[in-house]
Amino acid sequence: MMKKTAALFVGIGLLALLFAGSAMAKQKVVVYTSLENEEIVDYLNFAKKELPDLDIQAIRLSTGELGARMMAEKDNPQADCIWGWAVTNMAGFVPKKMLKPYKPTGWDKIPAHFKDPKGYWTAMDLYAAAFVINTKVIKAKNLPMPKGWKDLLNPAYKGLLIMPNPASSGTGFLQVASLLEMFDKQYKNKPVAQNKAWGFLDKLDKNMGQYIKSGSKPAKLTAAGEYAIGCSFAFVYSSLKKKGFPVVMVLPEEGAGYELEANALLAGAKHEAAAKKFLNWAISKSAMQRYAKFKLGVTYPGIPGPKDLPALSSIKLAPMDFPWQSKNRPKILEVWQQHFLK
Amino acid sequence: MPMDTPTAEPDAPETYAVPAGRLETDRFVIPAVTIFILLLLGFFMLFPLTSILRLSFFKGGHFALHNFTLINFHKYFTTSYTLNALWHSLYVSVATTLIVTVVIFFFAYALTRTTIPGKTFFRNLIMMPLVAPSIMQALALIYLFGRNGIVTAHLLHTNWNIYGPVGIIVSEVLYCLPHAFVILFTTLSAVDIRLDEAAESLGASPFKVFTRITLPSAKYGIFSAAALTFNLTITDFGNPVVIGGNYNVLATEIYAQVTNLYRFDLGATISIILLVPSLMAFMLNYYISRKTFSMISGAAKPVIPPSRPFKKSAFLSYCSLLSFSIIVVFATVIIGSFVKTWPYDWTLTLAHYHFPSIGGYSAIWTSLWIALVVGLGGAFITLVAGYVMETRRPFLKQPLYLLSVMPAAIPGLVMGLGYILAFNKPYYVFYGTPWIVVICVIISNFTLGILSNISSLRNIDPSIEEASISLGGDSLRTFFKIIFPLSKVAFFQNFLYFFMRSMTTISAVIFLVSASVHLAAIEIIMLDNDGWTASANAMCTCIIAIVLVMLGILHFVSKKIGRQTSSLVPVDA
Amino acid sequence: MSKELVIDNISKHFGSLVALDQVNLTIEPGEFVCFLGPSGCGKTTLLRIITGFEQLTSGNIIYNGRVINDVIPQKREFGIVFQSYALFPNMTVKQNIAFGLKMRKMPKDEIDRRVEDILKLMGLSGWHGHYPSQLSGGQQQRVALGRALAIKPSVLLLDEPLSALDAKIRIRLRTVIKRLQHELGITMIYVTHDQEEALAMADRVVIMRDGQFRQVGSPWEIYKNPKSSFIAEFVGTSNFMAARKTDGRVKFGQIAFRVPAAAELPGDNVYLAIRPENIEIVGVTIDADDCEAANIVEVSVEVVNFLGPVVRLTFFLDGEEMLVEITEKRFEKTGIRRGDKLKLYFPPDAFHVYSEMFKKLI
Repeated sequence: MMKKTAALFVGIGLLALLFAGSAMAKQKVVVYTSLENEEIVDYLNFAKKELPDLDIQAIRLSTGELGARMMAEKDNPQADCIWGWAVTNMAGFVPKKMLKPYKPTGWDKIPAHFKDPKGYWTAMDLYAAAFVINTKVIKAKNLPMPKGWKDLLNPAYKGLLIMPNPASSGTGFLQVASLLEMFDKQYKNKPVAQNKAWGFLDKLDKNMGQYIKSGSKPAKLTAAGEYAIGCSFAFVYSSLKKKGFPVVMVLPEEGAGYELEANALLAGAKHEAAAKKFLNWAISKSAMQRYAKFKLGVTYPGIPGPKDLPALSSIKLAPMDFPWQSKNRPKILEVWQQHFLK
Repeated sequence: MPMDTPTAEPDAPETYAVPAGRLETDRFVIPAVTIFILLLLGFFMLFPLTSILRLSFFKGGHFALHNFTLINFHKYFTTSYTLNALWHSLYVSVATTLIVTVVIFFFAYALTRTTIPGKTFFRNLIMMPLVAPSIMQALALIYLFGRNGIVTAHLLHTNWNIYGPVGIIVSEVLYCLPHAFVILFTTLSAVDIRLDEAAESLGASPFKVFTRITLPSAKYGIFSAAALTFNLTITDFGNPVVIGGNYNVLATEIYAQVTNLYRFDLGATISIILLVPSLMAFMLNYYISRKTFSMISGAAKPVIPPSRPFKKSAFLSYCSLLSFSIIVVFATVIIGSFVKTWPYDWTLTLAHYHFPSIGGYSAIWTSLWIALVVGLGGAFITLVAGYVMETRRPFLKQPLYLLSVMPAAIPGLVMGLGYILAFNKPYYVFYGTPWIVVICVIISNFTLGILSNISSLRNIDPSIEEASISLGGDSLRTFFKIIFPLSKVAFFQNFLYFFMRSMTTISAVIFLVSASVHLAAIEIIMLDNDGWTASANAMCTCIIAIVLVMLGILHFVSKKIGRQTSSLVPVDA
Repeated sequence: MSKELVIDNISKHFGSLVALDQVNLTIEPGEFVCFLGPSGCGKTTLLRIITGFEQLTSGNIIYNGRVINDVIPQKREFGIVFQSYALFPNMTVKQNIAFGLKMRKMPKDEIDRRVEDILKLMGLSGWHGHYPSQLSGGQQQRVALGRALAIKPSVLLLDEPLSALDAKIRIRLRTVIKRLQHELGITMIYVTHDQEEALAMADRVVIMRDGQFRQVGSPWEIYKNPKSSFIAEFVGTSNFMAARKTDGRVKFGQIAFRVPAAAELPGDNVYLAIRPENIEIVGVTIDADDCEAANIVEVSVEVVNFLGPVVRLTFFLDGEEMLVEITEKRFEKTGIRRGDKLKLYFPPDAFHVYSEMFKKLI
């Protein structure tokens, strides 16, 4: 029995070695990202080829979850860099000294409005809010096609709309933020709670079937037939369309809210050298071309977006005031929760 | 001291004695192990809890008198949507508790007091939900009764759907059935059926026998099952997060506060608020289960008299119905993972098993390795702790016992939150490694492990231990040569229990997954969050398959070692 | 060679409960001492203190002139046999017996030899490969005995070793143990609640009650001269009468016995005890001429219990239920039946007289 017990402990020891011993030769880099799982898998496969000496360990969490995690780990950062995370959230990290300025190779090529002048963050792409509509459901229930946000107030849509919760989803936040700016031109000069857009959102709430955690899920649930119209974003539409779901995309005529997704180096990174290598790659032309397979628009000049999405230049974008949004994010979320979470 | 044996041996033989040094060091073994386990529980359970307390009661989490504040609690109780989470949690938990207790009582009654056929089948089937993550029920219910569910949208063509409190209650009921069943089955098997016969022979009607004899004699079991169900429901995270829709409960609200609003202080505060009812239910259960055990007598169980045909068929259909619903849940998830687009396109496909996530299959392997380590480590350490506590009765037995039963009262999510608050420091090198997950899962499930070990150790005659000592055996040799081999069955059961918990736990580890540690159970939530429900089902199916394979292996092994394991799942509480 | 073991003024308290109350005894080398008492009298506690499993509250346990209070059980080199056998179920007979030797790092071939010797000694040759569960209760207890003896202990402690066995095997094993003690010359300390066992086996019997030694002596001494009413009842059986001294006689109800021993006790209220086999039946076991008339009483037989070698008759004396025993041979001749009137003779010297009556247990 002694021998068997000893074998048991040897077994445990071996397991421990297995945990520790994997991937020793390569340089490790830990990457946090909020990009869609689907695209990450594609990019990472590509990155492994282009960066053979790096052992890239990544975790994908929703925009909100990722932020929470980095806040929690502030004193002991587990990650080395952020890859594709909403700039609105990222901007809040700069005064908290959680980011370290770094201008990756090729930084000059990125237009100035897509990067922080001190190099705290560099945007890689832009994604825009879009309605994904299930044509089968629309036909079956004999509903009109919406053109913009205001059409969604039609009582015929009652219970058939779905949008993301802005607290957990970056997409949700950009939708709400764009409405606050578009429906109340005086948004800068009054408290967030008095913004006229809340009146619109209150009316929209009457039609809303559910506020859901993730930004892509409204589109997916709509595609699956659970809802008629999902307030989501453009890229997820093209992926669903390719899979053969009966969906069409409508960009809100008032103007589509958008968000930049950016990369940054975390202060206190344990593998800084490797992280810099990764960040250099992340805004390289070859990486950007890869992103462009999915993204509505990338920040590297001269790379066209996917064929099944409208060209970025043809889209009416909402005026997005990122500094204001970033500053007022907690307030906006608080007011939103007071209104819509019961 | 050798003796002279004038008749047997003329020459006095060489003398042999137990090596003195071995016995000298032996004095320190038990105290050292006791202190080690105390430190382990103190450091990995109490310390994280204090981090939560600190953050909720002190400004910025800095422990100092002038920092003491109730502002977080004030904010919690004056904000309607956070306060509602408490009412929601209580409503859902009370409703689940009532339903589960009634439903499972009659099921257990049928299996212990009637002569319906197929009892083994029913008993194994009702335990099935234990092999899957708690999220599975919710996934299945959405496929069945969601907005686009096969029943609601395609059979009944109704707009009604199960999202919200109804969905949470139904999925929690299915999730809690096995736990409550174990308790009631044990109680009803233990209560002497001859009492019923005696009452009947004195002329009482079957209804009177049931209300006056059967129910009262099982009352402690009923309360204990109810308390456990309440505790499981109010602390569960997986089901409400998937099927709750906008209906928030305490567990999901903790997660939302932390992850969406970065309000760790409010998350900690809600954790404290969740801890209160969960702790109360646990203490009630603990108090009651002590009484239950004292009621169970060793009296021989007489043969159950044949049930009347009507009673038999009624209970048989009842059990079949309940079993059917469990089968449907499993079938839905498994079939859902293999068909192209539920419920439109039933073409079989393996596409959903190409997991569209970073974790993917590596998450399954990591989960498997971790579960094996947790299984071995958990089973071993709880056996050692149980041995030290039950057999050696060390000086610090009382605190050790208290600390050992505490984890059951702590919701997994609270434990996980405590871990990131407490251990996310550069000098805790295990943070961010699989080891923190291993430790967290072992500690979270410590109570059941140790209780089942204690009850199994109680079955070992204390004289056996003393016999070994009187023959010169020291603690280590006594443990490894005698106690450990005699506890093999309990060890296997506990291994399986820890293995299953490790494979299926969500709430305790959701805060602990990292870039290098992806876990299968968490992948389910992430996949579902992103709308990859079919792949979530596929991941769920993989976990179920792994647990079932392990169950089969252990069943085979325990048969091989020639002992009957009465039940592969340890008795709750 | 066994050495002297001294129980020196030992007390043991469990909280407010006094389990042992200042007991003293010197056990000679090679002696067979039996601790006899009802359950809860402290005999097992005393045994556990001797083995070292229990710590004493005050006093000393002295072995070979050395105080061993703080010596751990492993070092005391005492063998122990348990009521429940306590064989290791996961080991064969041989492994069980070899366990203590392995702990002592004895070479393998020597272990094999010793185990064979023990098996032969215990009459278990050929059983070494069996597991305890494959043996009968009697065999298991013999293995347990062998296991304890294998380490050649200086003292063997036996804690009710036979009480789990059925009657016949119990009697056979008594002989085995007694024979081993003679052959090995080893000190044995035996705990039992069975007075018959104690009387049959011990060199000296220690009667224990409420944590105290009530009487120490040879079995014969104790049976013949129980020092208290409790011992008179606990060892063997006695008929008791609450009586009163009047006019040089001792009056029990209407009957005035002559009891010479009563004069030695102060006070008027006394308790008489007489063993059932000491009561004679006039005309059957004794001639009327040999009797003192005062001590003859006429009774009627209420119950006849046939017990094999003896027959027990129940009768009532002044409302008290009493017993008389006669041998089966006598009984055969008389053909006594229920309802028969008998003249009983209570020999004056057969009475034990006590000034106090013990409280019945239970």
